[in-house]
Formats: sequence, structure tokens, C-alpha cells
Amino acid sequence: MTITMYGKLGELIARELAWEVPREGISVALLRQALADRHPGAREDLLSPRLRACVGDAVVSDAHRVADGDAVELLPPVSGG
Amino acid sequence: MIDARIGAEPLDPEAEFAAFLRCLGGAGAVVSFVGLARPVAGSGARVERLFLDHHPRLTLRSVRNIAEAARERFGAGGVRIVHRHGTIRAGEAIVFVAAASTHRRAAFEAADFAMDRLKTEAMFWKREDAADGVRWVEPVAGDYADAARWGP
Repeated sequence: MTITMYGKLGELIARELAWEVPREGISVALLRQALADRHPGAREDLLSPRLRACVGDAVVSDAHRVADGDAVELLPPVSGG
Repeated sequence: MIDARIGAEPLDPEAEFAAFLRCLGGAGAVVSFVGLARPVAGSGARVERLFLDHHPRLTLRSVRNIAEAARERFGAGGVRIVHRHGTIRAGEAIVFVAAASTHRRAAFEAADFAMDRLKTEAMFWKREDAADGVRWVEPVAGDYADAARWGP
């Protein structure tokens, strides 16, 4: 799957990342945990309750399962104006 | 009338205001707000630039949703929001908001509401490049409290 990251996360890790997931898929919560294990410098941001995950431009919960072929986007807290 | 736009090009608040005034029909009040990149960070250090990251689809959608909510909630005849992304130098305009309505209160409130929502809900990620370091800016408690004044 591909993971696209914005803001601080995009800078800390990568804008876009190819990521292998098990055939049966993985929950968003476990995906975030796996990413945090791989990128300890971004751990706090990846595990923050204020981080939102999107699939198909819609916000999904931590329990949502994603699989190979999905495009997941990770959105840190926003700040406009 | 809703006009919501985002762009990396420089924002000209005077031209936006003039264009907004030209397309009003029957309004009795117009309120505008311009947000500028501050030259000094919270730490007191000089800010060299801001960088605003954005999402290719969701950012514009979020700005449009805020403009529509401001119009509907206050019965404003027109709302215009123009928001920049990319690199913004200190002193340059980041955001322009204007609201028009029959009477002044709705225009003031629509603009105020739109700015509060933009601070906490518009899908931008803001990095401040200052003389003492680089930091990603998140809304502060006061920003969330301002947005909460308007309810859900």
C-alpha cells in the first residue's frame, strides 16, 4: 500500500511511502504502531490521538482495516489562517 | 454567493476586496479580514518565512465548507475566502475573508466565525521558519476555545 503523509510527518518520514502489509490486512491502529516502531523520531506524532487517517478522502477510525492496494493518508493536526 | 479559493501565488487583499464589492447585490454591510504572516515568532525570534503544506483535494474542500457554513449560519449574502499555501514571507497576506449581508451584525459574525473555523479546521499544515529554529505550528488552546464559541 502507499502511505501519504502531510505536514510535520511528511517532513519527518516521507511524503509518500510504500508499505507492505499482511495479506489479511491490518488495522489503522496497528499500522500506526508499526510505522512508529520503524520511525521512532516520529513516534509521538504517529501515535497522537489528534492524528487522523484517511482512505479515499474520508476519515477512518483506528479500527478500520486497510489492505494491500489501499492508499492511506495520515493527517497531523491542521493549522490554517 | 460563495467564492473559496486556495493558491500558491501572492494574495492581493485590496484587489480581492474590490472584486468582492463589485459582485454584491443588495448588501448593506461588508466586513473583511486579512491575516498576515507575523515577522516575529512566539519566542521573539525573527520569522524568515512560513510554509503551508496542503492536501490536493481536501484542503479546498475544507475551505469551501467553512465559507458555506458561514453563509448559511448567518444568512450572509456573500462570503469570499482566499487562502495561500506554499512559502509566505513575513508581512505577506496568508488569508483574506470577506462577508456581506443586509445588516452589519451578520457580516461581522460570518467573518469572525469563518476565521475561527479556518484556524482549527482548514486543512493546512503550517511550518514557521524562524531565526532560532523551525517548528510546525498547531492551534493553541485559545484557538480551539474561539472555535468552540460557535458550537458544533
